[in-house]
Amino acid sequence: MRRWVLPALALLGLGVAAYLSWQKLSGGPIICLGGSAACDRVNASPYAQVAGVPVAYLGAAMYLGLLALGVLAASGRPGARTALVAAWGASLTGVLFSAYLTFVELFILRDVCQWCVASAVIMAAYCAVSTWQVLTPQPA
Amino acid sequence: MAKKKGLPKPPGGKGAPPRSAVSAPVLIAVGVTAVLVVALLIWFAWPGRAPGAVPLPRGAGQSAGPENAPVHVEEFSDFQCPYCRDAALGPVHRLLTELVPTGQVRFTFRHKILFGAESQRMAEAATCAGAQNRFWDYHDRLFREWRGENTGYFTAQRLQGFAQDLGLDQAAFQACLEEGQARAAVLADNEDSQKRGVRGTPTFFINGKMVQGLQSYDQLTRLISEAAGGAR
Repeated sequence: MRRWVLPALALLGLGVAAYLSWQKLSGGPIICLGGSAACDRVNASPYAQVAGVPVAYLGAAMYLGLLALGVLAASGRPGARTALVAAWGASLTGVLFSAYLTFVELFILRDVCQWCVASAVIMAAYCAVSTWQVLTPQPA
Repeated sequence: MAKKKGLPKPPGGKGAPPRSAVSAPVLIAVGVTAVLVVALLIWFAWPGRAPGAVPLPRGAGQSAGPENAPVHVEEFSDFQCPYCRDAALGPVHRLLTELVPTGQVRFTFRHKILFGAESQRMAEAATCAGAQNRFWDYHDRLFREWRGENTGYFTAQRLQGFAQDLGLDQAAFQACLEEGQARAAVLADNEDSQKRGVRGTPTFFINGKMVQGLQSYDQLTRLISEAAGGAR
């Protein structure tokens, strides 16, 4: 059961990123506790894109990749161990980039988007679980 | 670098001997790669730092370029007009970042209110940003946020948020917007547009000659060259 934690976390993160991507595409306000202004400002800010690509889209792509790697790692098929290491590396990238985005929110924009925080927490959890799995000897 | 001795026991490790945990060199290589990828992402994510990014002009008001430039381009535009958006983020952006810095062209943005109160509010907000020398950054931001016509998206709160993102003086911007300090200037532009026969947007005047509708960058530069020839 525990081996399916990674795909479950990736699905959760994909839900968050998909919602933010959809709102970016449709232009609708982002529903946040205490009003949507802060979430809208964060997601509309110039910091919310990488070379013109919205961060929400990158997040969705990242979680899709983490989902695929997580499923492969949990399947026990040949290549599962490699997939797990790749998932760990990708989630480490995600955690570091989330840390940068959180820094921008707190110290530059001075606005916090709860969806972004949720994504950062999920990414950190994925990274923590994958780190544990990578460091744990697996049965042959 | 984890020592095997201190590692957790394998889950359900019966039967065949357990595979060892991933070797330290592999973990270090993957970790270093992750750090490098993030550094690259941050480089591209930092506003204005992406390769090739040229900053928009800064200065008081809605004009850019020297007053004695041989060619003066005026554009009447509405922040909610889709063709104005195409012009602003395409050919006009290129004019501002490529031609205006040469000193050959002066470019002026003029307000033409086509879509009512929301357009008026956006125009006033941009003029308020211009009072803090950031008209063009705010202009681009408004057009990047384009959502259609009169969707109610551009609330006073959101306009204030854009000003905050640009690092404008929040109190001065808010006072400018709430007290309608920019209203007279916007209405004067709009009135002027009517006097000069502007019926749609975008409408350009190149050394006073009217050019209606969206123009490509090549079309604009050709018209500018013709006007420069005539100015000599």
